[in-house]
Amino acid sequence: MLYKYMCFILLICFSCISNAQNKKLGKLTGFYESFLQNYNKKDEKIGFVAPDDRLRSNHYLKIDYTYKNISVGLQTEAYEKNALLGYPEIFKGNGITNYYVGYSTKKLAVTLGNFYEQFGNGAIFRSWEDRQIGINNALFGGKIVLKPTNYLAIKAIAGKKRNGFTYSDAFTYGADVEVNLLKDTNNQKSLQLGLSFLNNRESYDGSLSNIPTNVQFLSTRVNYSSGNVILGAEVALKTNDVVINDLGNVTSNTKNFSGNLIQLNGNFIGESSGINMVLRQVNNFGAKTNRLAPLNQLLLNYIPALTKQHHYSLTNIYVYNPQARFSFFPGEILNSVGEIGGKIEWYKNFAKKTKWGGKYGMQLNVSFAQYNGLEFSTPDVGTTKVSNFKSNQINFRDFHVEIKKNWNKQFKTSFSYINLLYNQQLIEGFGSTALTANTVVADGTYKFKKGQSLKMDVQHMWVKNGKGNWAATTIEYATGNMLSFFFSDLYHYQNASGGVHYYNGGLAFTKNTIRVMASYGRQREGLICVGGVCRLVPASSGFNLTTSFSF
Amino acid sequence: MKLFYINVKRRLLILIVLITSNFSINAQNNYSSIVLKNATNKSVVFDSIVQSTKPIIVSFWATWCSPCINELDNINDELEDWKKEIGLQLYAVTIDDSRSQASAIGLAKGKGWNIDILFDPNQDLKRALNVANIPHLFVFYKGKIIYQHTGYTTGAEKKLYAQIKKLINTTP
Repeated sequence: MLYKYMCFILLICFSCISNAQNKKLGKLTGFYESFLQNYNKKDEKIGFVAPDDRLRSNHYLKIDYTYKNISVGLQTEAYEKNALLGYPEIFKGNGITNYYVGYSTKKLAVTLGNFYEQFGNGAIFRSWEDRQIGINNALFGGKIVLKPTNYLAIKAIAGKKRNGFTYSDAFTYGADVEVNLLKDTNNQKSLQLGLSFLNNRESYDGSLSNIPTNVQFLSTRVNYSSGNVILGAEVALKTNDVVINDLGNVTSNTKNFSGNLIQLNGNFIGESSGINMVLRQVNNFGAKTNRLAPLNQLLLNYIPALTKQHHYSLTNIYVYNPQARFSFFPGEILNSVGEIGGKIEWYKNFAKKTKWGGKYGMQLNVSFAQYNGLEFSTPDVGTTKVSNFKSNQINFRDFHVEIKKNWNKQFKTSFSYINLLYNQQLIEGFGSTALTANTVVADGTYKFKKGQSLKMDVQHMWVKNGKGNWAATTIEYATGNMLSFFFSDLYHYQNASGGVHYYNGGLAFTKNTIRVMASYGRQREGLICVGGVCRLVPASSGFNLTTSFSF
Repeated sequence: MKLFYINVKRRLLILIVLITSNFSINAQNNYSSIVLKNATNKSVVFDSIVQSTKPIIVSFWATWCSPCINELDNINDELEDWKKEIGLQLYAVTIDDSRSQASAIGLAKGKGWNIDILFDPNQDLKRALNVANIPHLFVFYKGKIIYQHTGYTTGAEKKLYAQIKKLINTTP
C-alpha cells in the first residue's frame, strides 16, 4: 500500500517536472528521503528483542511548485508499518502532513498553511524540522514578513504547531521587529536591534485554579559588528507558568514561576585565528505550546546546549542536554531550575611554510565549556526561591584540544583530546553526579592519486564513575567513483556482561543528488542529540537502508 | 475550532491544486527572495549573488559536519587557481543554528579559508533548494543551477572542477 502510494506521487512528480521544464510553466522541485530498518529478531548481547513488526520505515516526500511570485507545496510522510524504534508514537500511519501557499516579493512575503520560522536566535519562538530526531513542529496558520526598507524587517505569525499528524490545542501568535541602525552598506560596521513578542494561548477547563491560559514571552536583542569584532546580547522574559513534575503532570503545589534567559556573545577575528565566547543564564525558560506535551514534542522555543559539538562516535556518548526547565527527583523534590555557564573556543591556523605550520600547514582548536545549575533555596517547589546569577552543582564541563596537521598533499592527520565532567544523574536521571570521561582520538586520511581515499580513526575513552571504558575505530574507503565502503566498531570492553561490540559496516552510493546507503550492524542505546534537543534510541541490531534524492 | 481547521485544510489543498493546474509562462525560483546574513551580520539577498556571469559554488555545511569541512578544506586549497582560471566564486552556507553559528566564523578563520560564509540558521534556503542532507553543493551559472551533488569523499573536488569547466562551456 505504502509503495503504491509513494510510487504514485513520484510518478506525478516526474511527469510534472518534464512538463514544467519543457514548457517553461513554472518550476517543480522537491526531495524524497527514507530510512528503512529490518530489525533482527533478538540480539541477547545487547539486550534487544524486536517488536512483532520487525520491518519498519520512515518516508518523507516534499514537493514545491513555484510560478512567478507564488509558490505552493506539500510534504507527505509515511511510517510503515510503524516508525523506526525510538520515534514518538505521534508518527504513525501516512498522509499529507505539511502544505502551504505563499506569495513573496523583495518587500513582502505571505504564507498560509504550514511554515517554519524563528525570532532572533529562537529563544522565544522557533518552529523547525529535524527528521533525525523526530521533530517537525511547523506552525499551521499564517505568516507575514515585511521589509519596507533594507534596514527594517517585521514578521508576524499566528497558528498551531504540528504534532505528528495532528495539531497542538494551543494557539500561538507573535511578532518580531529587527532594525539595522547603521545605513552605510559599504561600511563594515553594523548595529542591529531586535524586539520579539509571543503569546501562547492554551485553554484549560480543569479544577486547578493556578493554570494560566496565556503565557507571554518578550525578548530584546542587540548585535554589533565591526568586521573583526562581533558582539551580541539577548534578554528574554516569560510570564508566570505552571511547573511540570517528573511524571509529566502539573505539580501538586499551586505556585507558578516566571522565567528568563540572558545571553552574551562575542566573536573576535584575527588574521588567522578566531575566538568565540558565549555566556548564558537560563532560568525556567523552556516552553511547550501544550503544557503537558511529553519529551521533545510541541517545543515552543529553542534553547540549545552551548557546548562544543563533537563529531566522533565516542565523544557523542555523553552529550550535554541543557537544563531549560524545572526538573525533579521522584516525589516532587526539586533537582534543577535552570543553568548558568559559558563556552570559549579558539581556532588558529598556522599557515604553510611557517615555523609552526611546516611545509603544509597546521590547525589548532581549543575549547572550554562549563554549565552549573542555577541556585535555589529549598527542594520544595512551594517555598523555593531561585537566585539569578548564582550557581550550585556542576552540570557539565568540557575541555577539548584538536590539532590537525597536513604532512604532504596526500596525507592529513588529526589528534584530539577531550575531558568531560558529566552529571549523569541530572542529565539522564540515573548514575553519578560526577562522571568523568577522558577521550583521545587519532584520525588520518590518505588521498590516492587517482581520486580514491582511505580514512581511519582510532578512539579510546576512559570513564570514571560510569559504566566502563570504550574503544572505537572507523575505516572508510572511497573509490572516487560514487561508491564508498565503511566499517566501524564501538567496543564497550568494560561492560558488566564482558564486553560488547557495536559494529556496523556497509556501503554508500552517491550520484548527483541521489544517495543510497546500506549497512548492517548494532546501534547502542543512548541519546541522539541535534542542538540541544535529543531523542532516546534503544539498543538494536539489523539491516538499514537509507535513500535520498532531490530534484 | 477543530472544524475550522479541517475547513482551512480543505480550502488550502483546493487552492494548491488550482494553482498547480494553471501552469502559465515564465518560471521563477522559490529561493529568489530569501535573505541570509553574512559574516558581518548584514543581510544578503540570495538571488543577488547567484545572478552572476561567473560560476558560483554554493556549498551547504555546518561546524559539526566532518565531510562538509573536509570538502571546504580541499576546495579552499584549489580555490585560488579556480578563481584565476574561470573566475569561480564560493559561498559556504552554514545551517548551524543558534547553538553553533557563532563558531562558524572562527572556524573559517582558524582554518585559513578564503571563503565567504553565509548563515541559514532556520534552514530557509536549505528547504527552498530541497537539500535533504549535507554536505550538498550547487553550482549556479547565470542565475541557474547547472550542477548539484550531495555527499563528499576526499578527492571528489577534482571531478567537480572538471565538471564545472565542461558545463560552463556548454551552457548558453
